[in-house]
Amino acid sequence: MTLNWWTLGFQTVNVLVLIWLLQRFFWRPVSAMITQRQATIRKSVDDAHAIEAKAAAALATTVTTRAGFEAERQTILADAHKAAEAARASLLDTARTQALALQAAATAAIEAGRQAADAAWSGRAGQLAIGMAGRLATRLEGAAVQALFLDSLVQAIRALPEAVRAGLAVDGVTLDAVSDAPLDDAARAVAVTAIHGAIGAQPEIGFKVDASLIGGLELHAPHLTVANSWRADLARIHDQLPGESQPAPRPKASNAPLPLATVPTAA
Amino acid sequence: MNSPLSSPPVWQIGPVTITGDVVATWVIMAVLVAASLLATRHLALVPTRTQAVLELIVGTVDQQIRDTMQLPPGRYRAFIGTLFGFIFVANWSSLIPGVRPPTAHLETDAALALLVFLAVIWFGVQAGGIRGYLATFATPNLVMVPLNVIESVTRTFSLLVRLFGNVMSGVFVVGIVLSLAGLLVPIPLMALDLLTGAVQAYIFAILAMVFIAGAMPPKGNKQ
Amino acid sequence: MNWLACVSIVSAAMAVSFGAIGPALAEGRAVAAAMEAIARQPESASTISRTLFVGLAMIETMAIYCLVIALLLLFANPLLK
Repeated sequence: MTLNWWTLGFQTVNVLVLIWLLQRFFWRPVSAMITQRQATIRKSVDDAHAIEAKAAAALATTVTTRAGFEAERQTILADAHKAAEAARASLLDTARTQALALQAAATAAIEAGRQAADAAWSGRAGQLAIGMAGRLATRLEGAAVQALFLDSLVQAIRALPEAVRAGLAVDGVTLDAVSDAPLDDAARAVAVTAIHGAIGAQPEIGFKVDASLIGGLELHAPHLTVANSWRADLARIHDQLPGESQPAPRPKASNAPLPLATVPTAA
Repeated sequence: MNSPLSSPPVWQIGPVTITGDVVATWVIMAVLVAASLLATRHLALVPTRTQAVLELIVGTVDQQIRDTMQLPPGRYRAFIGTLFGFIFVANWSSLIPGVRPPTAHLETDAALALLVFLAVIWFGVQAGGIRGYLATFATPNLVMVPLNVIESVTRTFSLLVRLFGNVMSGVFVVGIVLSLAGLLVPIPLMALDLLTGAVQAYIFAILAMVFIAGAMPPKGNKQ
Repeated sequence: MNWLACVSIVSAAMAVSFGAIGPALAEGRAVAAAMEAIARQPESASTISRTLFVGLAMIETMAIYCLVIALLLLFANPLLK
């Protein structure tokens, strides 16, 4: 058994050198390439993961924003609902108020109209009544009535104040005795006598006829009129009628003594 | 018939004898290095077909180291891979007519086994320090120290003789059959020789890994 | 040819023949066990076959030892020098 030591040494060195050479030229480059590729792949995977995470974050942000939008929308809707409700309520209130006001106005108008109508009807009824009374009074003709009117004229003249009565008696003043129908001479003389007696003087007295008096005897001085006729009475009654809800004109036929008004006429 | 145990010298330069094994080894080295240079010329991130094959080889070696040693393969890749590649190519160089594989002679196998023996010490000391390496002899307990020391030598011889016996016997049997019947008869034996050569290269590398892993401190082994 | 050479040749043949028996049996058992294990657990076939190869190589080493001894007896017998 022989062992060639030189060969052993050579082979040992040879294998060592081969190991070094292959390490230098084969194993290291290839494994470095493998490592590099793995690193590249890992990096790309990491990048992909990072991008994915970024996308997920963006998605989450979007979702949050969308939720915010939704909440905002809900808030806006709720506000709108509230505003609409308030507007509706106020509109309803206004409408109700207006309706109430309109109703009140309408009621008032109706009331006013009714009152006006009542007044108008009252006036018309008064006029009708006065007209009817006047028509009725025209039938009361005659000497008795004439005498009654003369009496009441005399009383009215006597009721006048002394100064006024004196004013009637001034000279040159012509008094007019106005009647509804022409008087005959006897009636004229009675009337003159009565008036002179009432005044206490003898002024000149003219006689005039005015059919519109209906009935009565009046004394017209230049500054004074002693109204004593159906017409004057009816006018006075008529003046008192408006405003009264229940005018009740008395029939003149009873011929109740009425207060005689001395109306000063404008000079 | 030439003795299979001796290799004839090719050149004699003074005291230095250069045998055919050394020449064959040089040729194998040149071929391997040239092939590596050619193959790794155009490495790129996107692999070509050649590069994919290279990476498959490297990946397989790494995976074997990982499986057998339970260690990251970076430091052992070159040693283990080169051992496997060299023995594989050397065994299969018997295909070339007129070439006797270098591994069919005792000197080359002895050199390889010696390198494994030294590598075990080298990697053991590197991993755990001298104290840690020496402590691995005391596993599982102190009584085993002499046995472990003897084993570390005998397993090296075992490695040597295994590789030598397999390759040499293959070559020897093929030679004997060839001297009996020249045509076609040795082909099955040559195929068996190729299989044996590949398996022996694999086993040599595996055993080298196992021995190196055995020299690691136990803490490193558990990782 | 002296008797030493005869004894060497005979013992070399005996070394190879007897040295082949034990590893042959052992390899048969190992392969059978490995087959059974792979049949039971096909997913660990790679580990089992790797271990099987290593074990077979170990077992075969015994036969190779015998072959080496025989070759030594035949070609490098120190007693025949």
